[in-house]
Amino acid sequence: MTGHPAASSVDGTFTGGRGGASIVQVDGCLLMSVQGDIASDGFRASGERMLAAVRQQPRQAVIVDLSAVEVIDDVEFAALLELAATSRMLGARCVFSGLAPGIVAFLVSADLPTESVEAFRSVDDALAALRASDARAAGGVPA
Amino acid sequence: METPQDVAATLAKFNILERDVALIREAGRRLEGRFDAFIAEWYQWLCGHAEFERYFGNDRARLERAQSMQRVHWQTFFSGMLDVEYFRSRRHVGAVHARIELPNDIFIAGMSEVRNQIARELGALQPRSDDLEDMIAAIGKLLALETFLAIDELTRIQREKLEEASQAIIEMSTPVTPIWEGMLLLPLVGIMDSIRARDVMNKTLAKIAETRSRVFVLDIGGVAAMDTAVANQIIKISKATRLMGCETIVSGISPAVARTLVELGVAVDDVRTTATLQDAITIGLRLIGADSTSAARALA
Repeated sequence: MTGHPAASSVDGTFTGGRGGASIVQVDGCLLMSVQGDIASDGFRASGERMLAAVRQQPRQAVIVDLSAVEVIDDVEFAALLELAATSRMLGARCVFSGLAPGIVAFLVSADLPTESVEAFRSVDDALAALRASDARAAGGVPA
Repeated sequence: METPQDVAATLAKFNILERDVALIREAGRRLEGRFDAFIAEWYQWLCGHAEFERYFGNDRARLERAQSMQRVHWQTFFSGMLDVEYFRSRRHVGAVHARIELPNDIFIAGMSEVRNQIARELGALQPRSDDLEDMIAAIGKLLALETFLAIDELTRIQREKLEEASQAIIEMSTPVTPIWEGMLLLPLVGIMDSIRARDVMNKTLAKIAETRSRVFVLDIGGVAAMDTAVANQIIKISKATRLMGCETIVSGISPAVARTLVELGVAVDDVRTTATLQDAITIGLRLIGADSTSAARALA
Protein backbone atom coordinates (compact mmCIF):
# COMPACT_ATOMS: atom_id res chain seq x y z
CA MET A 1 0.00 0.00 0.00
CA THR A 2 2.69 2.49 0.93
CA GLY A 3 5.45 1.44 -1.43
CA HIS A 4 7.94 1.90 1.39
CA PRO A 5 10.88 -0.54 0.97
CA ALA A 6 10.87 -1.61 4.63
CA ALA A 7 7.13 -2.20 4.73
CA SER A 8 5.78 -5.60 5.66
CA SER A 9 2.11 -6.35 6.06
CA VAL A 10 0.84 -7.01 9.57
CA ASP A 11 -2.68 -8.06 8.76
CA GLY A 12 -2.49 -8.18 5.01
CA THR A 13 -6.13 -7.26 4.59
CA PHE A 14 -7.62 -4.14 3.20
CA THR A 15 -11.30 -4.01 3.88
CA GLY A 16 -12.12 -1.74 0.94
CA GLY A 17 -15.68 -0.62 0.46
CA ARG A 18 -16.84 2.36 2.46
CA GLY A 19 -13.87 2.62 4.74
CA GLY A 20 -11.05 0.93 6.53
CA ALA A 21 -7.30 0.89 6.74
CA SER A 22 -4.30 -1.13 5.82
CA ILE A 23 -1.82 -1.74 8.62
CA VAL A 24 1.83 -2.34 7.83
CA GLN A 25 5.01 -2.44 9.85
CA VAL A 26 7.49 0.22 8.72
CA ASP A 27 10.85 0.81 10.32
CA GLY A 28 9.77 -0.38 13.76
CA CYS A 29 6.50 1.61 13.62
CA LEU A 30 2.99 0.59 12.80
CA LEU A 31 1.66 2.52 9.84
CA MET A 32 -2.11 2.66 9.54
CA SER A 33 -3.20 4.10 6.18
CA VAL A 34 -6.79 5.15 6.54
CA GLN A 35 -8.97 4.97 3.43
CA GLY A 36 -12.36 6.57 2.94
CA ASP A 37 -14.93 6.86 5.66
CA ILE A 38 -13.75 6.92 9.29
CA ALA A 39 -17.28 6.54 10.69
CA SER A 40 -17.55 3.01 9.31
CA ASP A 41 -17.39 -0.55 10.63
CA GLY A 42 -14.39 -1.10 8.40
CA PHE A 43 -12.42 1.59 10.20
CA ARG A 44 -13.48 0.37 13.65
CA ALA A 45 -12.34 -3.16 12.79
CA SER A 46 -9.01 -1.83 11.48
CA GLY A 47 -8.55 0.18 14.68
CA GLU A 48 -9.04 -2.93 16.76
CA ARG A 49 -6.57 -4.91 14.64
CA MET A 50 -4.09 -2.07 15.03
CA LEU A 51 -4.48 -2.03 18.83
CA ALA A 52 -4.07 -5.80 18.91
CA ALA A 53 -0.80 -5.42 16.99
CA VAL A 54 0.34 -2.77 19.49
CA ARG A 55 -0.40 -5.14 22.36
CA GLN A 56 1.67 -7.88 20.81
CA GLN A 57 4.61 -5.57 20.44
CA PRO A 58 4.30 -2.61 22.82
CA ARG A 59 6.59 0.45 22.98
CA GLN A 60 6.44 0.99 19.29
CA ALA A 61 4.98 4.08 17.70
CA VAL A 62 1.87 4.24 15.56
CA ILE A 63 1.50 6.54 12.56
CA VAL A 64 -2.06 7.12 11.44
CA ASP A 65 -1.85 8.39 7.87
CA LEU A 66 -4.87 10.40 6.78
CA SER A 67 -3.68 11.63 3.38
CA ALA A 68 -6.33 9.56 1.59
CA VAL A 69 -9.12 11.00 3.76
CA GLU A 70 -11.05 13.87 2.24
CA VAL A 71 -13.51 14.74 4.99
CA ILE A 72 -13.47 14.40 8.77
CA ASP A 73 -16.43 15.47 10.89
CA ASP A 74 -16.50 15.95 14.67
CA VAL A 75 -17.64 12.37 15.38
CA GLU A 76 -14.91 10.94 13.18
CA PHE A 77 -12.34 13.21 14.78
CA ALA A 78 -13.44 11.97 18.22
CA ALA A 79 -12.95 8.40 17.00
CA LEU A 80 -9.40 9.26 15.92
CA LEU A 81 -8.63 10.89 19.29
CA GLU A 82 -9.98 7.81 21.07
CA LEU A 83 -7.78 5.56 18.97
CA ALA A 84 -4.73 7.71 19.78
CA ALA A 85 -5.54 7.78 23.52
CA THR A 86 -6.03 4.00 23.61
CA SER A 87 -2.76 3.29 21.83
CA ARG A 88 -0.97 5.66 24.23
CA MET A 89 -2.49 3.73 27.10
CA LEU A 90 -0.98 0.58 25.60
CA GLY A 91 2.36 2.33 25.62
CA ALA A 92 2.66 3.33 21.95
CA ARG A 93 3.17 6.90 20.87
CA CYS A 94 0.49 7.79 18.31
CA VAL A 95 1.06 10.44 15.65
CA PHE A 96 -0.97 11.55 12.66
CA SER A 97 0.19 12.47 9.19
CA GLY A 98 -1.18 13.90 5.96
CA LEU A 99 -4.09 15.97 7.27
CA ALA A 100 -5.46 18.04 4.37
CA PRO A 101 -5.63 21.85 4.71
CA GLY A 102 -9.43 21.83 4.39
CA ILE A 103 -9.81 19.28 7.20
CA VAL A 104 -7.44 21.23 9.45
CA ALA A 105 -9.30 24.49 8.81
CA PHE A 106 -12.55 22.76 9.79
CA LEU A 107 -11.17 21.12 12.96
CA VAL A 108 -9.77 24.40 14.23
CA SER A 109 -12.72 26.59 13.29
CA ALA A 110 -15.08 24.09 14.97
CA ASP A 111 -13.00 24.45 18.16
CA LEU A 112 -12.40 20.71 18.42
CA PRO A 113 -9.79 19.64 21.01
CA THR A 114 -6.65 19.34 18.86
CA GLU A 115 -4.11 19.94 21.64
CA SER A 116 -3.31 16.28 22.22
CA VAL A 117 -2.76 15.62 18.52
CA GLU A 118 0.79 15.20 17.37
CA ALA A 119 0.85 15.67 13.62
CA PHE A 120 3.27 15.61 10.71
CA ARG A 121 2.92 16.64 7.14
CA SER A 122 3.73 13.26 5.66
CA VAL A 123 4.59 9.70 6.64
CA ASP A 124 8.22 10.47 5.75
CA ASP A 125 8.30 13.44 8.15
CA ALA A 126 6.68 11.36 10.89
CA LEU A 127 9.16 8.49 10.45
CA ALA A 128 12.09 10.92 10.49
CA ALA A 129 10.86 12.57 13.69
CA LEU A 130 10.23 9.24 15.40
CA ARG A 131 13.68 8.00 14.40
CA ALA A 132 15.28 11.22 15.71
CA SER A 133 13.55 10.95 19.08
CA ASP A 134 14.51 7.25 19.28
CA ALA A 135 18.12 8.23 18.69
CA ARG A 136 17.91 10.88 21.41
CA ALA A 137 16.39 8.39 23.83
CA ALA A 138 19.14 5.86 23.01
CA GLY A 139 21.82 8.52 23.46
CA GLY A 140 20.37 9.49 26.83
CA VAL A 141 19.58 13.04 25.66
CA PRO A 142 16.16 14.17 26.88
CA ALA A 143 13.68 14.56 24.01
CA MET B 1 -26.28 38.48 -20.32
CA GLU B 2 -29.99 37.77 -20.61
CA THR B 3 -31.51 34.47 -21.66
CA PRO B 4 -34.78 34.47 -23.67
CA GLN B 5 -36.55 33.78 -20.35
CA ASP B 6 -34.91 36.83 -18.74
CA VAL B 7 -35.94 38.97 -21.72
CA ALA B 8 -39.57 37.84 -21.41
CA ALA B 9 -39.55 38.44 -17.64
CA THR B 10 -38.06 41.92 -17.98
CA LEU B 11 -40.51 42.89 -20.73
CA ALA B 12 -43.35 41.71 -18.50
CA LYS B 13 -41.96 43.75 -15.61
CA PHE B 14 -41.94 46.90 -17.72
CA ASN B 15 -45.43 45.96 -18.95
CA ILE B 16 -44.37 46.02 -22.61
CA LEU B 17 -47.05 44.00 -24.41
CA GLU B 18 -47.63 42.86 -28.00
CA ARG B 19 -49.84 45.91 -28.57
CA ASP B 20 -47.08 48.25 -27.38
CA VAL B 21 -44.63 46.68 -29.81
CA ALA B 22 -47.15 47.09 -32.65
CA LEU B 23 -47.67 50.75 -31.70
CA ILE B 24 -43.91 51.38 -31.61
CA ARG B 25 -43.56 49.86 -35.10
CA GLU B 26 -46.44 52.02 -36.30
CA ALA B 27 -44.71 55.12 -34.84
CA GLY B 28 -41.52 54.08 -36.64
CA ARG B 29 -43.38 53.91 -39.96
CA ARG B 30 -44.90 57.36 -39.37
CA LEU B 31 -41.50 58.92 -38.49
CA GLU B 32 -39.75 57.27 -41.46
CA GLY B 33 -37.31 59.67 -43.11
CA ARG B 34 -37.35 62.05 -40.19
CA PHE B 35 -34.64 60.35 -38.14
CA ASP B 36 -31.81 62.61 -39.32
CA ALA B 37 -33.67 65.78 -38.49
CA PHE B 38 -34.65 64.20 -35.25
CA ILE B 39 -31.06 63.35 -34.29
CA ALA B 40 -29.88 66.81 -35.30
CA GLU B 41 -32.53 68.34 -33.05
CA TRP B 42 -31.40 66.17 -30.14
CA TYR B 43 -27.76 67.25 -30.57
CA GLN B 44 -29.03 70.83 -30.66
CA TRP B 45 -30.41 70.17 -27.20
CA LEU B 46 -27.16 68.55 -26.02
CA CYS B 47 -25.21 71.55 -27.33
CA GLY B 48 -26.79 73.61 -24.58
CA HIS B 49 -25.10 71.45 -21.94
CA ALA B 50 -21.52 71.40 -20.69
CA GLU B 51 -21.18 67.70 -21.57
CA PHE B 52 -21.31 68.45 -25.30
CA GLU B 53 -18.14 70.49 -25.03
CA ARG B 54 -16.52 67.85 -22.84
CA TYR B 55 -17.24 64.84 -25.06
CA PHE B 56 -17.24 66.31 -28.55
CA GLY B 57 -15.36 69.61 -28.16
CA ASN B 58 -13.90 70.17 -31.58
CA ASP B 59 -13.75 66.47 -32.50
CA ARG B 60 -16.08 66.41 -35.51
CA ALA B 61 -15.24 62.81 -36.41
CA ARG B 62 -16.32 61.59 -33.00
CA LEU B 63 -19.56 63.59 -33.23
CA GLU B 64 -20.34 62.11 -36.65
CA ARG B 65 -19.62 58.58 -35.41
CA ALA B 66 -21.90 59.10 -32.42
CA GLN B 67 -24.67 60.42 -34.68
CA SER B 68 -24.44 57.50 -37.11
CA MET B 69 -24.56 55.09 -34.16
CA GLN B 70 -27.65 56.89 -32.92
CA ARG B 71 -29.30 56.45 -36.33
CA VAL B 72 -28.84 52.67 -36.03
CA HIS B 73 -29.97 52.84 -32.44
CA TRP B 74 -33.31 54.45 -33.28
CA GLN B 75 -33.88 52.20 -36.27
CA THR B 76 -33.60 49.19 -33.96
CA PHE B 77 -35.76 50.95 -31.40
CA PHE B 78 -38.63 51.40 -33.85
CA SER B 79 -38.17 47.95 -35.43
CA GLY B 80 -39.65 46.48 -32.23
CA MET B 81 -37.38 43.42 -32.30
CA LEU B 82 -37.15 43.01 -28.54
CA ASP B 83 -34.97 39.89 -28.38
CA VAL B 84 -31.76 38.80 -26.65
CA GLU B 85 -29.66 40.61 -29.24
CA TYR B 86 -31.59 43.83 -28.60
CA PHE B 87 -30.96 43.53 -24.84
CA ARG B 88 -27.28 42.92 -25.52
CA SER B 89 -27.00 46.03 -27.70
CA ARG B 90 -28.71 48.18 -25.03
CA ARG B 91 -26.39 46.85 -22.35
CA HIS B 92 -23.52 47.77 -24.62
CA VAL B 93 -24.68 51.40 -24.41
CA GLY B 94 -24.12 51.19 -20.64
CA ALA B 95 -20.67 49.66 -21.21
CA VAL B 96 -19.74 52.55 -23.50
CA HIS B 97 -20.99 55.06 -20.93
CA ALA B 98 -18.94 53.32 -18.25
CA ARG B 99 -15.84 53.58 -20.43
CA ILE B 100 -16.28 57.28 -21.21
CA GLU B 101 -17.49 57.92 -17.63
CA LEU B 102 -20.67 59.61 -18.79
CA PRO B 103 -22.57 61.02 -15.81
CA ASN B 104 -26.01 59.45 -15.25
CA ASP B 105 -27.78 62.80 -15.07
CA ILE B 106 -27.04 63.80 -18.67
CA PHE B 107 -27.93 60.29 -19.89
CA ILE B 108 -31.30 60.21 -18.16
CA ALA B 109 -32.02 63.83 -19.09
CA GLY B 110 -31.17 62.91 -22.69
CA MET B 111 -33.58 59.95 -22.65
CA SER B 112 -36.28 62.21 -21.27
CA GLU B 113 -35.56 64.74 -24.01
CA VAL B 114 -35.86 61.97 -26.63
CA ARG B 115 -39.28 61.08 -25.29
CA ASN B 116 -40.44 64.71 -25.48
CA GLN B 117 -39.08 65.06 -29.00
CA ILE B 118 -40.81 61.93 -30.23
CA ALA B 119 -44.06 63.04 -28.61
CA ARG B 120 -43.79 66.46 -30.29
CA GLU B 121 -42.99 64.94 -33.69
CA LEU B 122 -45.81 62.41 -33.56
CA GLY B 123 -48.23 65.07 -32.33
CA ALA B 124 -47.36 67.38 -35.22
CA LEU B 125 -47.83 64.68 -37.89
CA GLN B 126 -51.02 64.91 -39.96
CA PRO B 127 -53.38 63.12 -39.98
CA ARG B 128 -53.23 62.55 -36.23
CA SER B 129 -53.19 58.91 -35.18
CA ASP B 130 -56.16 57.74 -33.12
CA ASP B 131 -53.78 55.89 -30.82
CA LEU B 132 -51.41 58.83 -30.31
CA GLU B 133 -51.49 58.73 -26.50
CA ASP B 134 -51.05 54.95 -26.30
CA MET B 135 -48.27 55.20 -28.85
CA ILE B 136 -46.37 57.77 -26.78
CA ALA B 137 -46.96 55.69 -23.63
CA ALA B 138 -45.57 52.57 -25.35
CA ILE B 139 -42.50 54.49 -26.51
CA GLY B 140 -42.09 55.81 -22.95
CA LYS B 141 -42.10 52.26 -21.56
CA LEU B 142 -39.47 51.09 -24.01
CA LEU B 143 -37.29 54.14 -23.29
CA ALA B 144 -37.54 53.37 -19.58
CA LEU B 145 -36.41 49.79 -20.31
CA GLU B 146 -33.46 51.06 -22.35
CA THR B 147 -32.48 53.43 -19.55
CA PHE B 148 -32.65 50.58 -17.07
CA LEU B 149 -30.50 48.27 -19.20
CA ALA B 150 -27.79 50.88 -19.72
CA ILE B 151 -27.69 51.86 -16.03
CA ASP B 152 -27.81 48.23 -14.91
CA GLU B 153 -24.84 47.39 -17.13
CA LEU B 154 -22.98 50.42 -15.82
CA THR B 155 -23.60 49.32 -12.23
CA ARG B 156 -22.57 45.75 -13.02
CA ILE B 157 -19.28 46.93 -14.51
CA GLN B 158 -18.60 49.13 -11.50
CA ARG B 159 -19.40 46.28 -9.11
CA GLU B 160 -17.08 44.01 -11.06
CA LYS B 161 -14.27 46.55 -10.87
CA LEU B 162 -14.82 46.92 -7.13
CA GLU B 163 -14.73 43.16 -6.59
CA GLU B 164 -11.55 42.88 -8.62
CA ALA B 165 -9.96 45.65 -6.58
CA SER B 166 -10.89 44.13 -3.23
CA GLN B 167 -9.71 40.71 -4.41
CA ALA B 168 -6.40 42.27 -5.38
CA ILE B 169 -6.12 43.92 -1.97
CA ILE B 170 -6.79 40.59 -0.23
CA GLU B 171 -4.19 38.89 -2.43
CA MET B 172 -1.65 41.56 -1.66
CA SER B 173 -2.35 41.64 2.06
CA THR B 174 -1.40 38.01 2.78
CA PRO B 175 1.94 37.38 1.11
CA VAL B 176 2.84 33.97 2.56
CA THR B 177 6.41 33.58 1.31
CA PRO B 178 8.90 30.73 1.57
CA ILE B 179 12.10 32.29 3.02
CA TRP B 180 14.06 29.11 3.54
CA GLU B 181 13.52 25.52 2.58
CA GLY B 182 10.88 24.39 5.03
CA MET B 183 10.17 27.86 6.42
CA LEU B 184 7.37 30.29 5.54
CA LEU B 185 7.05 33.95 6.53
CA LEU B 186 3.93 36.10 6.65
CA PRO B 187 4.42 39.71 7.70
CA LEU B 188 0.95 40.84 8.74
CA VAL B 189 0.22 44.52 8.28
CA GLY B 190 -2.88 46.58 9.01
CA ILE B 191 -6.18 45.51 10.47
CA MET B 192 -7.12 41.91 11.28
CA ASP B 193 -10.78 40.98 11.12
CA SER B 194 -12.50 37.61 10.90
CA ILE B 195 -12.56 37.60 7.07
CA ARG B 196 -8.86 38.42 6.89
CA ALA B 197 -8.05 35.85 9.58
CA ARG B 198 -9.87 33.17 7.60
CA ASP B 199 -7.98 34.19 4.49
CA VAL B 200 -4.66 34.05 6.36
CA MET B 201 -5.57 30.59 7.68
CA ASN B 202 -6.54 29.21 4.25
CA LYS B 203 -3.56 30.72 2.43
CA THR B 204 -1.13 29.52 5.08
CA LEU B 205 -2.44 25.96 5.22
CA ALA B 206 -2.44 25.69 1.43
CA LYS B 207 1.10 27.04 1.26
CA ILE B 208 2.30 24.64 3.97
CA ALA B 209 0.85 21.72 2.04
CA GLU B 210 2.42 23.01 -1.17
CA THR B 211 5.91 23.75 0.18
CA ARG B 212 6.02 21.04 2.87
CA SER B 213 7.17 23.65 5.36
CA ARG B 214 7.83 22.81 8.97
CA VAL B 215 8.07 26.33 10.38
CA PHE B 216 5.71 29.24 9.84
CA VAL B 217 6.78 32.66 11.08
CA LEU B 218 3.87 35.04 11.58
CA ASP B 219 5.14 38.57 12.11
CA ILE B 220 2.45 40.72 13.74
CA GLY B 221 4.65 43.78 14.30
CA GLY B 222 2.55 45.69 11.75
CA VAL B 223 -0.87 44.79 13.10
CA ALA B 224 -2.62 47.99 14.12
CA ALA B 225 -4.69 46.77 17.05
CA MET B 226 -4.65 43.63 19.13
CA ASP B 227 -7.72 42.41 20.97
CA THR B 228 -9.08 39.08 22.22
CA ALA B 229 -10.65 38.23 18.87
CA VAL B 230 -7.43 38.78 16.93
CA ALA B 231 -5.42 36.90 19.57
CA ASN B 232 -7.81 33.96 19.38
CA GLN B 233 -7.52 33.92 15.59
CA ILE B 234 -3.74 33.78 15.87
CA ILE B 235 -3.98 30.91 18.37
CA LYS B 236 -6.27 29.07 15.95
CA ILE B 237 -3.84 29.56 13.10
CA SER B 238 -1.07 28.19 15.31
CA LYS B 239 -3.17 25.13 16.24
CA ALA B 240 -4.04 24.52 12.61
CA THR B 241 -0.47 24.66 11.32
CA ARG B 242 0.57 22.25 14.07
CA LEU B 243 -1.97 19.74 12.73
CA MET B 244 -0.18 20.05 9.39
CA GLY B 245 3.09 19.25 11.12
CA CYS B 246 4.25 22.85 10.99
CA GLU B 247 5.24 24.95 14.00
CA THR B 248 4.05 28.57 14.14
CA ILE B 249 6.29 31.21 15.67
CA VAL B 250 4.57 34.54 16.28
CA SER B 251 7.08 37.38 16.15
CA GLY B 252 6.92 41.13 16.58
CA ILE B 253 5.13 41.05 19.93
CA SER B 254 5.60 44.51 21.41
CA PRO B 255 5.60 44.99 25.21
CA ALA B 256 2.21 46.72 24.92
CA VAL B 257 0.72 43.79 22.98
CA ALA B 258 2.24 41.29 25.41
CA ARG B 259 0.72 43.17 28.35
CA THR B 260 -2.67 43.39 26.64
CA LEU B 261 -2.68 39.66 25.95
CA VAL B 262 -1.79 38.81 29.53
CA GLU B 263 -4.34 41.26 30.92
CA LEU B 264 -7.03 39.85 28.64
CA GLY B 265 -6.19 36.40 29.97
CA VAL B 266 -5.66 35.01 26.48
CA ALA B 267 -4.24 31.49 26.60
CA VAL B 268 -1.01 32.17 24.70
CA ASP B 269 0.89 29.41 26.48
CA ASP B 270 0.74 26.99 23.57
CA VAL B 271 1.86 29.59 21.02
CA ARG B 272 5.56 30.16 20.55
CA THR B 273 6.26 33.91 20.55
CA THR B 274 9.32 36.10 20.10
CA ALA B 275 9.89 39.84 20.36
CA THR B 276 11.67 40.26 17.05
CA LEU B 277 11.50 38.72 13.61
CA GLN B 278 15.21 37.94 13.86
CA ASP B 279 14.69 35.77 16.96
CA ALA B 280 11.85 33.95 15.23
CA ILE B 281 13.96 33.20 12.16
CA THR B 282 16.85 32.00 14.34
CA ILE B 283 14.54 29.63 16.22
CA GLY B 284 12.92 28.56 12.96
CA LEU B 285 16.23 27.70 11.33
CA ARG B 286 17.17 25.63 14.36
CA LEU B 287 13.83 23.79 14.19
CA ILE B 288 14.26 22.86 10.55
CA GLY B 289 17.78 21.77 11.28
CA ALA B 290 19.56 24.59 9.50
CA ASP B 291 22.12 26.27 11.71
CA SER B 292 21.77 30.05 11.52
CA THR B 293 25.50 30.69 11.10
CA SER B 294 25.71 28.31 8.14
CA ALA B 295 22.54 29.91 6.86
CA ALA B 296 24.16 33.32 7.15
CA ARG B 297 27.18 31.99 5.32
CA ALA B 298 24.99 30.59 2.56
CA LEU B 299 23.24 33.93 2.20
CA ALA B 300 26.50 35.91 2.13
